[in-house]
Amino acid sequence: MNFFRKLLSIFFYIFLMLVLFFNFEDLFQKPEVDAKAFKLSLKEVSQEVNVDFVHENRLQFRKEIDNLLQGLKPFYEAFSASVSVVDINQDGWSDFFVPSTKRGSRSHLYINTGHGRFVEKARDYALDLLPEPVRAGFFDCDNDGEPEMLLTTNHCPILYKKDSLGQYKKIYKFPEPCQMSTAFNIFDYNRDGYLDLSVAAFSHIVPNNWHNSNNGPGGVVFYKNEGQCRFSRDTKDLNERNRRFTHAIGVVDSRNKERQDLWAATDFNLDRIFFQKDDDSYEQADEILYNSKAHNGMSVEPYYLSGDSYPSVFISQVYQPRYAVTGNQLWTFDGHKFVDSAKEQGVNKCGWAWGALFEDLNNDGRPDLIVSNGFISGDPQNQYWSMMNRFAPSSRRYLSNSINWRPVNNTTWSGHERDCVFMNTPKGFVNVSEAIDFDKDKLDGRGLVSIDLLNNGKLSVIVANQKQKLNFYKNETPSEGHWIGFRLIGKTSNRDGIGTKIKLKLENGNTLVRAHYPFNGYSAQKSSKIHFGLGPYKVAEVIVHWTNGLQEKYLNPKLDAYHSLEEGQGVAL
Amino acid sequence: MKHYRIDLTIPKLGDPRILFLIFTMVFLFLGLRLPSFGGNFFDYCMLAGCCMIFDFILRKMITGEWVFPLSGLTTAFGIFIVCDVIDNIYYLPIAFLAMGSKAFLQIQGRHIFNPGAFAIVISNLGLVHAVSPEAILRWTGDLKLSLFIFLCGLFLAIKVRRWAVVLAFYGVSILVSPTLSLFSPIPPLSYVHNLMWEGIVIMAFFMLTDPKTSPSHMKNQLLYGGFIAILAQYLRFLEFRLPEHTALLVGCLVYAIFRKYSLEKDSAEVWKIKEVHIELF
Repeated sequence: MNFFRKLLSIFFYIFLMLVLFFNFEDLFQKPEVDAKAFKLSLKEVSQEVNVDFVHENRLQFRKEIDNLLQGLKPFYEAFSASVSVVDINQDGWSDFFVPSTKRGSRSHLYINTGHGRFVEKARDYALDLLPEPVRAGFFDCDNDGEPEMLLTTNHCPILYKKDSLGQYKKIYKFPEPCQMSTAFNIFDYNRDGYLDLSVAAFSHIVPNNWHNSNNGPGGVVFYKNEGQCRFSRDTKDLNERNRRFTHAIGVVDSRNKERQDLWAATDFNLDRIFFQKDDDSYEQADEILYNSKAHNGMSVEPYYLSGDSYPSVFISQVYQPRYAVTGNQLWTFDGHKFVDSAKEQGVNKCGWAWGALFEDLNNDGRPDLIVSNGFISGDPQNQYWSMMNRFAPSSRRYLSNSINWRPVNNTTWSGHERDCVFMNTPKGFVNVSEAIDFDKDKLDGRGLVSIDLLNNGKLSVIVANQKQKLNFYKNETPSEGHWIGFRLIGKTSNRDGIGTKIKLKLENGNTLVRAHYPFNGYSAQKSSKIHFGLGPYKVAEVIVHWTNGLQEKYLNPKLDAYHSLEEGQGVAL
Repeated sequence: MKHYRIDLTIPKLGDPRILFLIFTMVFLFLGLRLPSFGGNFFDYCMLAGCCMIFDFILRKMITGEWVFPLSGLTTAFGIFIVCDVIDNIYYLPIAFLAMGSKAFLQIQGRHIFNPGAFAIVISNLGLVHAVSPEAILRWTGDLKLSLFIFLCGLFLAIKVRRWAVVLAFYGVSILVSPTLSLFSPIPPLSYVHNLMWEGIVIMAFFMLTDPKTSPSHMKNQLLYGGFIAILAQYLRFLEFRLPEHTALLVGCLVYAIFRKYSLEKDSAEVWKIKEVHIELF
């Protein structure tokens, strides 16, 4: 026994040394990725395509508090870089808009010439000088075929409409109280054919608790579209007392009941989920996420990863060794509760994650995942995480006063992080961003979208970086299969086709599903062209579920092309 | 037919560890009902199971006795409310660190470190990609809860005759912090709020007062509490992660070395225990 005890004690000492000095992470590290095996090429070409944009943000508070909050301004200014894809001139080519938040700075609207380049034309549309814009959402609120624009700002949201000269003019400013917001979604919640708004806010105040804050700007507010772009506030269902900090609102049929559930990605607290009932009202269902450890939700990106079963919802969170190891989440409903499989799928670690986007980058039939990350990139030697040790463990009253926070100034707070590109392989997701040199400058990514530059099924990627230059990554990956794309035109359903579900039945029996909610994600608007990678298979039939309940079928569509699906033109089921 | 008998040592009802156990169970029961608590009962059972198994087996190996693993159960509580893990499998090495420190890191037959504090500090230092002290931020920030913990902790500290340690810890902290705030942009009130924070209250009343690793004579208790206070405040000033737990570890080591070479021996702590004999077929 003595000998055995001595042996065990030696083992303990060795174990202790190993824990302290050996990096166990290396043991669990996946083998180095061979980028050539994936043949993925996302080359940064912003100069080549004539995109030259640097996001700016500088807040100016009231004189009496501006000096007091000076040190925290990098924190307050860290939330507003967004990008919106829109075919603003209706020529069939995807354009995109990027607002610059700083007062007096110019936002940019890039018009796709169709030849692989863009022309900046914000002034022509009167979109260059906007009042401290944060995020834009282009949608047809009166179903006249022309996109209006919802603009959230550092204050209240504003609605714009094109005038007879094609310039955007303010037609409505939403009333107070309102706060800085990246969190809105536009969809037809009551299926009356008009697109409604759901808005939540993040604001410029600090939380009173890191995981259980209750001093946020408020709940999720609905604005019902009465027709002709007139909106009335409708809060009877979501007028909740819990005041949270919301980064994004996602819409998803999470329980496969043809309902439009809401998922509010919430910082400093649990995410909020609202199940839609049969009468289109909502009931809060947060308890389903009890025991979720990650309370820094930034983005909501749903996707049907497994064909026709329940959709998976990717929530960006924070992963920072030493301080926050819970990481991203990938929630899927199993009939009774949501189950998080991010770790098993290999997508839980991507630094301080923001925007997220599922798209099939190589058309192999499996959707890949791109995640933008990085919070505040300052002096790498000066880490804000360690400064938080001084004031983080405090009472609510103390923490809620921003004067008690350490100044951020030129520190780094999860900065200098490389965005992630998770390739979907038969063995799970693999992060190949380093192998393909994606985001080599390690900028602070926020809004993230895909855009088909040449309408050839190869999706390029745009990343809006906070107070830094925009990145445009051209997809030059050799296609590993066929693709097909759709543009929806509603008739009795809303004209943009938002909320429509498309199911592709392939010749091998598999089903691919996508629901068209372009405002999911974080601070981004996706293209109205819905892209599917098919791999080597052809499409046997396309089934479209319009939001008004109509289901239509289209047979044997031509591959490697975009199709306009107009409501009523298919074969009714 | 052959009979087997196990002689098992278990605590009596008056043993202070039973009080602590009741506190932890009530705390966990209430905490697990909170949405923001983040953990679940299965996670705690896994951690507690690992700690208890290691405690049970290692104690048998070291002392030759079967002892009910109460220490493992209470140690698991301290770790559970502080540490987040990326995967529950990491509870295994954390539990081994905790109970192994008790079994193998000893001076004069007494373990040096509070097992929970040891595991928390070492795992957060070494397993940085998998363990973080974020869990403690998930249920803290409420002054009412702080008061509840303070009252329970005070009762326990009096019961184990260690209230002087806590008094010294808080007293010296309050004296030292204004001095440190002169060299830092953080106002003195920050240190006060920090001292009232639930995580510190639990550490002070439940870990600092561990009778096995803290002095029993009042004079030594005051020195011990004061030393840890100064070190903790200084580590916090240096923006060290887990400053209080780290200071506790250093304090335990200093006290253990002092006890080895001191002429004045602290009395060995005696729990209220009894032996039970379990007959197996």
